Amino acid sequence: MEIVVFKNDEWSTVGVLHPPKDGSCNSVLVMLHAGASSKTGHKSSFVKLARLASENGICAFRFDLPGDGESQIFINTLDRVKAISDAINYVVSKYKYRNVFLMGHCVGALRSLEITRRYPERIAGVILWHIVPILHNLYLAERPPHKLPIQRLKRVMSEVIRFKGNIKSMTTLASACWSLFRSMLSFPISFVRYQSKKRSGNDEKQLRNIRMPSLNKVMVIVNPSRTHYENMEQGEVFLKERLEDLGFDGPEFVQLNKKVLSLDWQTIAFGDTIRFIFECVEKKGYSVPEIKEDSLCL
Amino acid sequence: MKPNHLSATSETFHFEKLGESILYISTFTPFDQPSKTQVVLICDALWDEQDRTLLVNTKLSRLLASHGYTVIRFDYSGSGNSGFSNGYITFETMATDLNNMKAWCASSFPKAELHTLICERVSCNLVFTQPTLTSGFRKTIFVHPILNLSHFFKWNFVEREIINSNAYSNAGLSETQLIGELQTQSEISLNGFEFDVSFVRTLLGSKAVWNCDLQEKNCLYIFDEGYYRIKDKWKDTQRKIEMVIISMRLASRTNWDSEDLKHDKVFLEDLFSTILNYATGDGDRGV
Repeated sequence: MEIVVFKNDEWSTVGVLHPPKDGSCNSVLVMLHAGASSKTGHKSSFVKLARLASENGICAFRFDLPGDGESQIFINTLDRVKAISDAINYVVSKYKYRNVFLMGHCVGALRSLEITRRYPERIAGVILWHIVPILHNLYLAERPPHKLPIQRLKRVMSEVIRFKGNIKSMTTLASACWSLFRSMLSFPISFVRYQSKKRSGNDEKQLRNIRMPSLNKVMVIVNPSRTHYENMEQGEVFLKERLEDLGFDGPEFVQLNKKVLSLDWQTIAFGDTIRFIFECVEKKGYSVPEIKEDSLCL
Repeated sequence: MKPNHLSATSETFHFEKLGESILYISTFTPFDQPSKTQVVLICDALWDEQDRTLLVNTKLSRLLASHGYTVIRFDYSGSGNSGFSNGYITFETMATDLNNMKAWCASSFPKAELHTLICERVSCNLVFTQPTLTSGFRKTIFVHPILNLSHFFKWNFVEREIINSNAYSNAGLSETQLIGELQTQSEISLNGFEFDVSFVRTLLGSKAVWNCDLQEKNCLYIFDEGYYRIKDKWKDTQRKIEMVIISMRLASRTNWDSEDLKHDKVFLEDLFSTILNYATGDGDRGV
């Protein structure tokens, strides 16, 4: 493991690079964590995945996104996606990696998509782990409504009232929150809406017309344990349409609930991530090693 | 008081092999070193809470460093960015790490005074079980101790394992059955974390911390406002208690004047000023 500190006039971050034990490698897996998280990742998942990637000959890089963990922001108007891209560029150019894979968790997945859209020629593949379909779900999914922090509850309440009219009791509110959440799944816009706050209508149309280079692939790992995808099939169709709108053809879906029960979800998601990277690299004509089955037993 | 993201501190991050573990250590030092170096050691939370508290701890470290303290925080082995040792996290491994860190502080800053030990969540419970860990420090601050480890463990791991539709829940086990099942196994994986079965038994068998014998020492307990009843329960003791709203899950904060962030700003300032006042003061404030 190696500490990487990236710093410029706008922000600074601390990352951990996990190079393979046997030395050099062409591919780097860059991991973007979820909101209000850090380079450790949810349930230490990034640490475990980075070690697994390293054992399989893939370099892994995880770092604190702007405003989280041990990063520092020096200007308020920071373009976060550009800032993240700069940090990735720094690592990629310093260590001369040929294939860059992005793996984003939750809101990190949204950012991975946006980076891929901005720099399609630079990203060999993107793995969207438990992508958040709409920002409001961030605090609806985290815990039951009655456990929400007050200020966030107020924000949710204002949304609920907009959709459902007056709320007279906490029970009604809780029920309305879940009802609203379910209705969100059928909304036609997810991350497009997320970005549209900052972009004009014309920009949005242009973005929709961008086609990703054929080598770029996207894999979506959906975890039914989280409430983002209460209805797996509906969620999958929804996400597939949105990804195709954004120029990603034929996204691969991995549903964790259909896998062997004796393995935990992290192990399954990690195994699929490594396999996906190997397949993408193979498509580019590089030789691909075998996945070390033993290393999947975390 | 607005947290100052100083440019007034120097920050280093590195891995250090201490004993059998490789620990991730962050050091925040003031640019203008005071004549006497005073070390504040921050012991983080564990599991999911470690991930959530990192941002707050980092901001707190920068704040304290801007007031002249040398602040050191670390991840316990097997937690956060620190390496896994050949086993699981237990109170014994945590105590070893804490003692190693104290020794490392003494060797890295030979002329420094160990000033304040700040424990968060389960780190508080560690010190409650082994009060000698505070030796050498002038002051100890307990931030939001877990009052009932058994309840904490059940809620955060057992119930969430069931909610997460994992292997156990597919076997149709209730919480009670699952706990019974767990106690027969030698290795336990719950909600994405691995446990030693004896540690699970320790956690499940733990009661509230009322009996801990630290009230005579120079300690401050900080609880979330939601735990206001504690103040009543402990009113006859000599414990110094502060109630602040603790918002550990702070998302990216760049615009502190935003209306949306006003509440979190107040929470954070309240927590920081409570800690800073106690650390810099004479420590004699009553309840």
